[in-house]
Amino acid sequence: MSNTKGSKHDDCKNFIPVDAAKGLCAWTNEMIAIDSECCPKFEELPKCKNCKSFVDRTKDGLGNCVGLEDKSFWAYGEMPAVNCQGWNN
Amino acid sequence: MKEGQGLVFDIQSFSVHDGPGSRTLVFLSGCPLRCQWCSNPEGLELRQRFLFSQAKCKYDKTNCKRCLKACPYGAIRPNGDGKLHFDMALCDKCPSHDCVDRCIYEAARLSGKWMTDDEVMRAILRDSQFWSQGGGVTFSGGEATMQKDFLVRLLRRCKEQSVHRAIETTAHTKTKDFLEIFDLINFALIDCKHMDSARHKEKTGVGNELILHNIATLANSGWKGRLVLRIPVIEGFNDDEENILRVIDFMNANKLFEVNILPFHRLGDTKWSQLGRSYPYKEFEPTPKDRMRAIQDLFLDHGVACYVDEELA
Amino acid sequence: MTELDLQRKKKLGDILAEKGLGMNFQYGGKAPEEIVDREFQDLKPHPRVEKLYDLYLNTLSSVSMEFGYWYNRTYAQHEYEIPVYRRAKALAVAFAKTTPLIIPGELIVCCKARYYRGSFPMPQLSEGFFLAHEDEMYQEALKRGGESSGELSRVGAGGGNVTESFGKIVSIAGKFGIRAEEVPALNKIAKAWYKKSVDDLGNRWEREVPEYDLKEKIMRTMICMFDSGYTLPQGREVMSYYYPLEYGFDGLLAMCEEKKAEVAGNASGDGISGMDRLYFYASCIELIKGIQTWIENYAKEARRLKQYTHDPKLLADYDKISACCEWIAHKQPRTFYEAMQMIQFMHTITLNEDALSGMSPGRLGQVLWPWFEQDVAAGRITEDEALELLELQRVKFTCFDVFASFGVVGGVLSGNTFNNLAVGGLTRTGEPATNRLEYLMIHAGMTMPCPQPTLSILWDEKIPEDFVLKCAECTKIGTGYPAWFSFRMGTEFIWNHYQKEGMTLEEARSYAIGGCLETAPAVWKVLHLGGKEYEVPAGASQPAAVGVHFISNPKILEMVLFNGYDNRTGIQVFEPHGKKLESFDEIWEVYKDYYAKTIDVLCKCNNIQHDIWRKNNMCIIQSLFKPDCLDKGHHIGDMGYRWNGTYNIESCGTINMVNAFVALDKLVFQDKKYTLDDFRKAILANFGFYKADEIDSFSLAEQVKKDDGDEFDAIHGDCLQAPKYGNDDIAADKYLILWEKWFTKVAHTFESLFGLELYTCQNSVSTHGTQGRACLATPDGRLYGTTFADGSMSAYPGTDRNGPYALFKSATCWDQSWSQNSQMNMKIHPLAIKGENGTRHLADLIKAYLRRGAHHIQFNVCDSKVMRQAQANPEQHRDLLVRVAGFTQYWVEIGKHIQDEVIARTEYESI
Repeated sequence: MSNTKGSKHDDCKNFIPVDAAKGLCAWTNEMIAIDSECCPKFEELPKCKNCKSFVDRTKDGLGNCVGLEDKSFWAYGEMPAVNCQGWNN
Repeated sequence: MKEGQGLVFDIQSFSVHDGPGSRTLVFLSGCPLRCQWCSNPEGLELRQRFLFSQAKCKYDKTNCKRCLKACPYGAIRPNGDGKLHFDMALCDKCPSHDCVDRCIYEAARLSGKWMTDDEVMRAILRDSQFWSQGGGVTFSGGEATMQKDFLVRLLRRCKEQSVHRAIETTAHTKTKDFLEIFDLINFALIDCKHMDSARHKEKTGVGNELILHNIATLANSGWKGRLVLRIPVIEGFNDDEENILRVIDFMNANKLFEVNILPFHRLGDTKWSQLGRSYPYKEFEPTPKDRMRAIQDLFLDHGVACYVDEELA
Repeated sequence: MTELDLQRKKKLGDILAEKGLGMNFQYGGKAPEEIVDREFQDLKPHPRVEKLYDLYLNTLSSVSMEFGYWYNRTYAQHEYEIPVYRRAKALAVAFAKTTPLIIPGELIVCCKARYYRGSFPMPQLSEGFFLAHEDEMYQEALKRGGESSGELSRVGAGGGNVTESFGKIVSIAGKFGIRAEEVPALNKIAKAWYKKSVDDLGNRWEREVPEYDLKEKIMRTMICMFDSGYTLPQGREVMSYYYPLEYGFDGLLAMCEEKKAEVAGNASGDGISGMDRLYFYASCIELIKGIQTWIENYAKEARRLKQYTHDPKLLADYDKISACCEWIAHKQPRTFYEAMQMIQFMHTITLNEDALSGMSPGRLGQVLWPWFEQDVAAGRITEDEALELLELQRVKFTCFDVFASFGVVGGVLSGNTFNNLAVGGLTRTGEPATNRLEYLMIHAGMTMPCPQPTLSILWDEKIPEDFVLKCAECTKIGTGYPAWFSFRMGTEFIWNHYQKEGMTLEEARSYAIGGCLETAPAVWKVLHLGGKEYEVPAGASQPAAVGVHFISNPKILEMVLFNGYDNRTGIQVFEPHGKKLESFDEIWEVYKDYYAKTIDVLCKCNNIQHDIWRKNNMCIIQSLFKPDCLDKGHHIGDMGYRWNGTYNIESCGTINMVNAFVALDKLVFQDKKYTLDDFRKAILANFGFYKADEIDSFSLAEQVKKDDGDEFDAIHGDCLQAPKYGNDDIAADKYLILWEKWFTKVAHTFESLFGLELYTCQNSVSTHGTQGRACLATPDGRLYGTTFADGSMSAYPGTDRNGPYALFKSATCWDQSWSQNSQMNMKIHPLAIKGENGTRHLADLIKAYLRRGAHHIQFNVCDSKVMRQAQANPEQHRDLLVRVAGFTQYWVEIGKHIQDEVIARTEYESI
């Protein structure tokens, strides 16, 4: 269990996105809005924004990824990193 | 009447409810009956009728005033409601109908066209290339037998071309003419509106004696075609058990075994209003399905093959 | 049919039998018992499917940047690689990294992006749209930044289209929704392609064409609709599922490794491209590995989801999915289910490579037949289970969205993706190719009516009658499919055109429909399963509709009448011809001259665009799937496919042009009632009517005359009353013959980038609305801005007065096998085809037309009253389907001007 403060549902592992506005909670199978309040079962989904290799963050959510073989490339914090070998936190 | 021509008020290709296969329907003007529920009122008389369709008129939408300017009699005027109004009594008798030529939206028009045999045959033979198996031509109306000479000429030419020939008729015509026509017919739908002559006259304007006589004569003449009786089911008029049983008796007596019952529908309403008349059956409800099935069951139980609506094929 | 109905039917049959007549004595066909008679509206999909479809109906078309990000990052990383290998690397990484998405209840899985109805932009093709709206989107995203919204759904007026921004969702092109947080990434990627995209590079090079200036003017005046090179470079073609279905991905890997070793360092007599084979096979290997990871990631995701449930059914689903994905990531599918899942992966993979629409499964029932046959025989699957899978596939295919620029998505496609599934046709040896699985596919189209895959029947006299009737029943449910094609006509066109590339008649018979109506060639391949051999069709051609797209025929006539000048925009498009035009022949000569000039410059510019595409954004995925790239060692840009002469010229507004020719020739030159100047004046004055944009309605039925517009009453009346196409009147139809004889032949005088002849394609998609808006009044009496007649063979609304047979005769006055297709859209009253007999009559009507040498016909049976209701209350009509031009689409997802047109036409014809 993690701190849910400032998180939205598509930051959660237990969330199955349906579209840009909503998705299903894998536990309840209920439709929930991405931007609604998260519950105590919240578990953080690997995303660039919660990776240690995501540096030089800017206010519009961009930054640099220094964790892969190309050394450094821009990245955006909201990208899921489920299949990224370089993700670490 | 024009020499050597017939008045045809419609030709419909791909008609599928008036005989086997897909067919071309030729509607001939003129009818001796005046059935109150008639759905083709523009074909009742053997003359062109003036029709005006408010729905097609674009006066309110495009400000078109072609007809208004063309009319020499002042029979057309805009009303306060933004629509054009025709003095239909006057227009029906108009000798020139200039408005019809000028109307580009086909809102003002004349029913029917005087056509030569060749013109009708051209349409039939063109369509014949597309008919399905068993398809052909069906003459309807009005009452097609009213223009007997024209009809017989067309039937002969169809026969020469091996075109399957059907007729949808009231059978209200001289027996001699009737038999002469039927000599050229392969398939017939004959209306049987009521078995009681007085009731028949009440709603259609004529008694049924000649009709029943013609059917019986035909049935016993050795005629080789297929004959299906047709009953437009009008609730409260001819849908009672007594009438149906009398139809069955009549059919049994004449070795007839197929009947097609049609539910009443209000599709004729638009045309009545286009003639400037009020449809007597405007408020009448379409015949319910279960009523149709009940009548079908009655026929079937008495050994008569009964088809409901489009089930006839 | 109820028990009672059956009893009645039996009684009826008994009575007739007693009289010596069979029930079906009116027909030569089979007994009516064989027809499945149901109230079609009562048909329902399986519960699992219904749930997913409901979810789809409430899902917004959404964009995510994940795939595009990895593509771009990897592409940048390999800047100095050989272009084809660089692109393969980028695609492989994007597949391997994209997060899988499985919705509980799904059995067939795989989404384009991590949304149920997801897609993503491909600025490598064209980035201009994003850059033009960059600031706007960025500001919108910032504005959205602080806002929080709990809104679940905005599905309504636009169906699943995100027509405007809301909450933290930013609308792109009035159709797609993107999370505000991802907009900066979209902008960043778009910027990276500035002056590098196929669009930008193509534009830089097409300027080298000496007549480029003319092309600019042609596009600006809407004489032509759009460039195909960077908008939708692939599609309108038939998939080949053969290789992975036959060899499995491991088999393909081995094959590529072997080939790579064989060609490395060898030119094999081809000094120009022989060496390229090495890089191609190496690219295929990279790509296959990426695809395998992607499929395995789905297996992983299915296993992960197991932790959330105790429901044994759901657990079984996840086991089934993971076992299947693990297997087909490497091997040939063993069961019908595995084969269906493989199809879903292959189709999605293909759609993720390029912006493309019209990626057609083709004759899928024949491709999948081996698995179906063997599973049923072995008792591994019931027909009902197969039907459920087919229904699931329909929902998955309907979820596919194509992300292209707004003009293309809205103006041409109306949001449709045209995944055309064909049934019927003949086998290589001329036997009917229909099978029981195809019957179920049509049935699934009825139990699960939705736009994709859209269905087509390739009709031939040999197709069994009960199958034809099943298709006719499906046509009657009002979804607009299946479209009906004459198999013979298609075969004739295909064989005739591809003979130059060595095609035989037997090969021609493998064709199917790519996109909405485009006949697309294929080949036969031998498939092995369970010790048995099968011959299956596999698409084997370039996109069958790229090239010169949508020339507005009436607009060219306008150019002729006004000396090459466009009055709408004030542009002198063509060199003034300066002719007096004293005869119709003279008009026709100038018309042909302008038209040929138009084709010429568009063809050259398009060749350059496509050339840039094949050099910098070449297709590798389809090259891997389609014959004969793997044999030749060349991707499609280097003519790896079997058939390469697919480029075409598409036209729009043919029937308005024909009717305009009729009126001009009759009224000016034969009757001499008016002069050409009278016509010019009337056209400029729009026959005394307001212009459509002045009254803000482009609907045919709603045009308004000016108070002082009476001056043109006479000429307008005469124009409208001149003979019209569609009435079996040779006085009108002869101009269509004149046109087709010239148009279909002149196409062969132009050459594609592959050095092969072009052909004509005559289906309008939605352009008849858009191009009509840019065209002044026409001599047939049509008013400024209103839509053209749709398709190429449909009559202009209200002008065919002699019934369908007369229309059929007009439509077949020319040899339709000269053209890739023709298009006939027909409205038919549901009453006319009611009941069992009605089904037969409909089938007979269709056959009558196709027998006469027609290519295609399709039907719309929707009541205009329902459409009006749907316009007023879109929320209640989310699932209403209508046939627009060449395709079926949700009513609520088509543009308002097309909605207006469909209503106007239907009402016009029903009065």
